Amino acid sequence: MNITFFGPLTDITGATRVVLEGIPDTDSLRRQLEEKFPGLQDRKFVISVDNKVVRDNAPLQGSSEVALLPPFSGG
Amino acid sequence: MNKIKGFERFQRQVILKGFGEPAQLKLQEARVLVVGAGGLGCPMLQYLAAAGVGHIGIVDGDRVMINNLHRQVLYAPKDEGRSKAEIAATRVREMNPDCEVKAYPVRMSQINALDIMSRYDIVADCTDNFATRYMINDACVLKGLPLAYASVSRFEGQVSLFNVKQPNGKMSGHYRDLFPTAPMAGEVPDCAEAGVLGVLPGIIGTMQATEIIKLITGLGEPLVDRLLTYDALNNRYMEIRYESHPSTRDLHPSHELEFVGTDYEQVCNADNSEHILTSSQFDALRREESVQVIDVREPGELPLLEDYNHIRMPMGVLPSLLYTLRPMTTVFFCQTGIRSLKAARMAAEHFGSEARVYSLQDGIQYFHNHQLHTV
Repeated sequence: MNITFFGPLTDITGATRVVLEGIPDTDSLRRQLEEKFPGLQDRKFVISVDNKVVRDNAPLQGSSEVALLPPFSGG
Repeated sequence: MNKIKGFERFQRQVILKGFGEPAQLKLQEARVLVVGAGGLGCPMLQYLAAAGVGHIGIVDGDRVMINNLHRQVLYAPKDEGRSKAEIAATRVREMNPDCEVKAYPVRMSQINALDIMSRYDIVADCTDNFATRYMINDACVLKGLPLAYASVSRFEGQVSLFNVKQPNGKMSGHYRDLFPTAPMAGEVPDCAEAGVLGVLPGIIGTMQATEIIKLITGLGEPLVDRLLTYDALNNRYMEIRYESHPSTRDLHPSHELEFVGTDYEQVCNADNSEHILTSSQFDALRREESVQVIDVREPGELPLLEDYNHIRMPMGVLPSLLYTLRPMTTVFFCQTGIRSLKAARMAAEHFGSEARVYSLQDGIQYFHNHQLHTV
């Protein structure tokens, strides 16, 4: 599945997009990403799956489009 | 029925299908409070006034600085040091003398927010910090006021409408349904720290103004329960749906007294003063002992520091590389001392009592001021 990162999160991941396979749900995804990119651990972001924000654990499929969006403060 | 003031001015939008005189009258009677007259606030004010919004309030406690001018297009070099709210109000009155404009040259806080907001129907969040953003959101939830939200970072922006009354009587989702709690200071770099493309708040602020005009006139489909993101570098737009989450209700004050008693600055700024190192303290420290100096800025950030012994360890990789640092007195720096403060907190946790760690308050500017080879 495609995982897209927004804003300053790309400083941590070094890329706007990564592809991961075989992840059953968003909780597992969060754990795997935090392991791969430890800098994500203390960042606030919202996860969207197929363009819908998920707040609780949600199932993922191979075709899921996932995005991690941080809040921006600038104005 | 009320008359439209200066009809000729609005003729080109009144003739739009679905617009007509009723929509123009709604704009004329609307009362919009714009909080923040900076990068987002400038285009917001220009287009609301130009479109015929009848009553506009402008809240901003800041004064014009020269480094505002690349994006805050209501101001000129001659305005340096003057109140943004006052100057913006003057310019808006010049643009549309029929618009009733009130300037509030103060910083909006939990103390004055409810009183100022009570005079308006819609609030626009054009602010530049999380403390004010969460405070405005919570105030609008308490007051039942719709809130037009926008924010920018570098080349990207976000827009949405919060807290809009739906046909079924329920209120739409708001900021805390997207981002439940405020990040800590330094967790997310602001424009001073991360930079911002000058035209970006122009684009995003204009989108935000469009949503307010749609909301007032009832035209189209307002960005309710949807967050629009825009990336100027690749012209990528994305729309993400969200909704009210039951747990959000516990996160914001449920009555006015609780709101007034909430210290939003404190929520966003834990006490880190023990780690902050001023320029003169750093001078003294360098004379007294050997110090390892670490640049936590990302690759590509300028100016570079040359011919001065230091380690480059960008924030993005810092957590996984902390173990490589020697446990000795350590000074972190970035552009303005915000990210380096976060780095110092992390390193302090890592070293415990083994080493003292600091964040250089003035960032790279310290080395520049000491003529230490910045290029």
